[in-house]
Formats: sequence, structure tokens, C-alpha cells
Amino acid sequence: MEDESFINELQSGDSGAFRKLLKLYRSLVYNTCLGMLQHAEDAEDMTQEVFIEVYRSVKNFRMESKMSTWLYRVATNKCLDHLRSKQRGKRSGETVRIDGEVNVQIPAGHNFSHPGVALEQKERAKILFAAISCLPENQKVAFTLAKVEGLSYQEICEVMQMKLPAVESLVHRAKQNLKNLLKNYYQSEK
Amino acid sequence: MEKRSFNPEEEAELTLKSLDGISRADAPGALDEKIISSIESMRRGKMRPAKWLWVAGIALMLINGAVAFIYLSPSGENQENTAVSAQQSSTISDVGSYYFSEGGAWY
Repeated sequence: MEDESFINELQSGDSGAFRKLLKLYRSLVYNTCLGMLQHAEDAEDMTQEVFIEVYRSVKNFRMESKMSTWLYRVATNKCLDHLRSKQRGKRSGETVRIDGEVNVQIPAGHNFSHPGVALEQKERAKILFAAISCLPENQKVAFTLAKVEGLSYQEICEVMQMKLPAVESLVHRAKQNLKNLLKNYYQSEK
Repeated sequence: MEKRSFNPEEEAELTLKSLDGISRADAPGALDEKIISSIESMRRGKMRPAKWLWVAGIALMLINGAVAFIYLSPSGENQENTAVSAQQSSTISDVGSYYFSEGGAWY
């Protein structure tokens, strides 16, 4: 948990405290945005937007959760908004069944390479990220926080403000959907 | 060398594990300054109207004060008017005292 005086400094608009916040959390926010948006420039812009939002609303931060949890929440919500506005422009053939099972194909030409992936896994990770982009919103957030940010289920519960069984179920369904998507992809590649 | 047969299910499982051990991507170094400068400009933008409001408010008060001083001070024509009305009031009071000294009867 952050030092209360640090939060107070932030809330009083201290620029030194804000620089410290940036230094501490810029990679956390950037990496979350990168995992969600799968586009380096969009992730940079989104990181900027997240910190501007944090600057505007830090006065309302009531220290009930950790600063990192709050930042994850702001970042994932902003990214979802961005993805929604991007999606609005183009109608995809994606259909999601009521139980959350995805009935879609991995889009061709998806070529996102995460810089943190080991070299020998780069090609597989590209395909996995393409599959992640097809998941329903909640599953995408839960899976990205778990696998890209390495958060525990308990931490994901706090970020997404959900109960533990709900998060476990989301991650489980995300894995099932990804497995099906990938299996179909490799079958068509065969 | 024996060639491994291609199994989609197995490939899917392996792909699903490709993010194991992923490390956090570092944010570009220039991003900090970009964020700070956009927050600074936002802060300046926020300050500007308030600062101008103060300046405009004080200027308005000074102008009001000056106008009040010029029009309400007893100088020039105004002073003459004031003198005339003082004279008039003294004339009326003289008439009053004459009326009473003569037993209250008008001639």
C-alpha cells in the first residue's frame, strides 16, 4: 500500500509526486495498454490518456485499494473504450454465444509482436495475441491481466471488481475459447 | 531424422503457453516528458481564465472607483449647483423665520 503522504501530495497537485508516480507506474500502465490494444503507438497514446485521467481524478482516490489496482482499472477501462470506438467503425462477423463461447476465426494479417516475449515463442505469441483480440471484453481483460501482467486471480478480482469464482470462470472460458480458436486456425493451416 | 506429425490440438496447447515467462515491456523513455508536458499545458490552460478573471475584476473595480470619484466629487459645475441649492435652502429658511416673526400672517 502506498504511503499516505505520497497520495496526499498527489492530491494536492504536487508535480514532483506526479513525476514519481509516472516513474513507478508508467511501465505497468504501458504494458497493460500494449497487451490490450496490441499496437505500440496506440498503447503510448493510451498511457498518456490514462495518466491525464489519473491527474484529473486523483482527488477522488480514497485509498480503499492499492494505487496499482486503481491504475489497472483506469487503463483497462480506457482501452476497452478505445477498442469499442474502433470496433464501431467496422462490423466484424464476430458472434458471441450467450455462454461466452466465441464463434469467430482468427483474423488474417494480425502481426502484433510483444517485445517481452522470448524469441523462440515470437511466432506462436503473434497467433495467440490475434486470438486474444477475438475474445469478449471481460474474458480479454481477465486473460490479459493474468497472462501478460501476471496478476493473481485475487488481484484481478480487485481490478475488475468481481468475485473470485466469476474471475476464475472468465479465465477458464477465455482459455477454452482460445484453445478452440487456435485449433480451428491450425486445422485450416494444415 | 523423424518428422513430427502436425497435430492442431497439440499446436493450440503449445501456442496457449507461448506467453509463459513473458516480461514487461518498457515504456519509451520520451513518454514521461510527453505526459508531463501535456499535463503542464492542461494546468496552464486551467489557470489562464482564472488569472484573467482576477485581472479583469480588479480593473473593473478601479474603473468604477474612478468614475464614481469624477461624477460624485463636489468640483466645477457640480460645486456651483451645490452652492446654489445651499443658497436656496437658506432663502427658504429666511422666509420661514420672517413668516413667524410677523405673527404668522402673510401679506
